[in-house]
Amino acid sequence: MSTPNDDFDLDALYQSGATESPSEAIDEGIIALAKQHLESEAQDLIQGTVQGKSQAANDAWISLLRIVPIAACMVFAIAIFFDINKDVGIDAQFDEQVSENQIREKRIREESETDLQDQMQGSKHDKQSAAFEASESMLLSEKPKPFAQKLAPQTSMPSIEIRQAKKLVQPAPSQQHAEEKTAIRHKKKAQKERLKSERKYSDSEGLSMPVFSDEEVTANDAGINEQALEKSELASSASSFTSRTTIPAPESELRSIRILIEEGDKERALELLKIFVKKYPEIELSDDLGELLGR
Amino acid sequence: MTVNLIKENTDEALMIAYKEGSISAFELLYARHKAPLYRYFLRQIHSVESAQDLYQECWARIIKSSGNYAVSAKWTTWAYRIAHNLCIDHFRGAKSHESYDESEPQEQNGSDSVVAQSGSTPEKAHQQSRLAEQLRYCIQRLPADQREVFLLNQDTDMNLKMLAEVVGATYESVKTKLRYAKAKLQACLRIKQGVA
Repeated sequence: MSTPNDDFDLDALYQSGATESPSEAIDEGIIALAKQHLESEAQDLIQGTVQGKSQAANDAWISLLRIVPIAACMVFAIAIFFDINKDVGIDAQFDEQVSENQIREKRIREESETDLQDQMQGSKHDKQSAAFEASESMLLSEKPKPFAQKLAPQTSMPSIEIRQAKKLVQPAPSQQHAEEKTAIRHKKKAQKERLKSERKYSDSEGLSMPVFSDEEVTANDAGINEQALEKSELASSASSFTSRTTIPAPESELRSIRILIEEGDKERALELLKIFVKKYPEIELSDDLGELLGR
Repeated sequence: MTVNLIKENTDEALMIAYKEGSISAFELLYARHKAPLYRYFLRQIHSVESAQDLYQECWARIIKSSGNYAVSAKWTTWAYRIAHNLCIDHFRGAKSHESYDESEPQEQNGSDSVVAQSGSTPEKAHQQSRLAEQLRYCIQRLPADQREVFLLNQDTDMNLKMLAEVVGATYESVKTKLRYAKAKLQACLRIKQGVA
C-alpha cells in the first residue's frame, strides 16, 4: 500500500510490530465457553425432544378427555334406552296376564254354557233359556278392551303412572275368580229352577211362552240367534216387569208387587196384580194382596 | 459432513461445523483469527484490560450467535462487524471517543519480542523495532475512524468493499479514510525520525 514517494514501508513496519496475541488463559476461557455453549445447546435439544414427547402425551390426554364425556353420554343414552325397553317388557307381561285371564273367563263361560246347553237339549221347548243363553253369550262375548287400547290416549303418561294404572287394571286374584264361578253357578241354578216352574205353568195353560222348534234350538246352541231373541222379546212384552233375560216366576212377580206396595206405589202394584191374576188365576192370593185387589 | 466442512477449511465452513457441534472446528477458527482480532481491540482501545474484556466479549457474542449464523457474507466481515459494534458501545459508554488529539499513546510492552524477531544485525533490528514502536504511537494518534480502517486493512485480508461493510461507511469514504490515515502516519514517522 506504500507509495513510491513514501519513506516508510508502513505495511512491513506494522507487521513487524504486530506480534501481540491473547494470553493462554483467555484462549482457554473462550474455548471453554464455546464447549459449554455446544453442551447447553445439546441439552436444550434433548429437553426439546422430551418436551415434545411430553407435549405429545398431553395431546393424547386432551384427546382422551374429549372422548370420555362423549362415551359417557353414549353409555347414558344406551342405559336410558334399555330402561325404556324394560318398561315395554312389563307392558308385554301385563298384556299376557290379561289375555290369560280372558282365556280363563272364556273357559268358565264355555263350561257354564255347555252345562246349560245340556239341560236345554233335554227340553226342546225351552225357548227362553235359549234366548237367555244367547243374550248372555252376547254379553260375555264382549271382550274386554286390550290394555293398550285402554291406555291409548295416555301414551304420553310417565312410566310410573302407567305402572299404577296397570296395577289398577290387573286381573283379580284366584279367590275372586272362584267367587265369580260360584256366583255364575248359582245364577244358572236359579235360572234353571225358574225355567222349570214356568214350563209347568205354560204346559198346563198352553200360554204365552214361545215355543221353539228343534231346529231353532240347535241354532241357539251357537249362542247367537237373533230370531230367538226377537221372539223372547215379544213374549216378555206381555209383562211389563219381566226382565230382558228372565221370565219371572209367580213368586218373584208377587215379591215384586209386594216391593211396590212397600214403596207406596200402590197403583202400579194393583196393575201388576191384575195382570198376575189374569195370568195365574189358579194361584191363591194372600190377604194383603186380596185387599189390594178389593176382594 | 462436519469433517468435510473442516477439510474445506474456510472460515464459513468452520463456523458451520462448529454450529453442528464440532469444537475442533471452532478451535481452528479461533486459532486463525485470535491474534488479528486481539490486535484490533488492542490498537483501538488504549487500555489493555478493556481491550481484553472487549476481545472476550466479542468471542462470546460470536459463540452465542453461532446458532443463527448463515453464510450470507464472509465470516471475517460478520465477526469484525461484531467487534466494531463493541468498540462503538465501549466508546459511547466511556464517553471517551478517543481521538488523535485527545489521547496520549501508552508505552507498549512488546518491543522486546519485535527486536528478537526482526533483524539480521542488532543495529538494524534495533532501528526496526524503534520504527515499529513509532508507528504504533502514530497509529494511536490517528482519528478513530481512520485508525480503524487502517488497522482492519493491515490485520485482515478484507478489501475496501468489505471494510466499508464492517465500519458502516461507503466504499469511497473508506478509501479516503485509508489514504488519509497512511498519509498521517508517514508524516508522523517523518516527524519522529526528524526527516522532515
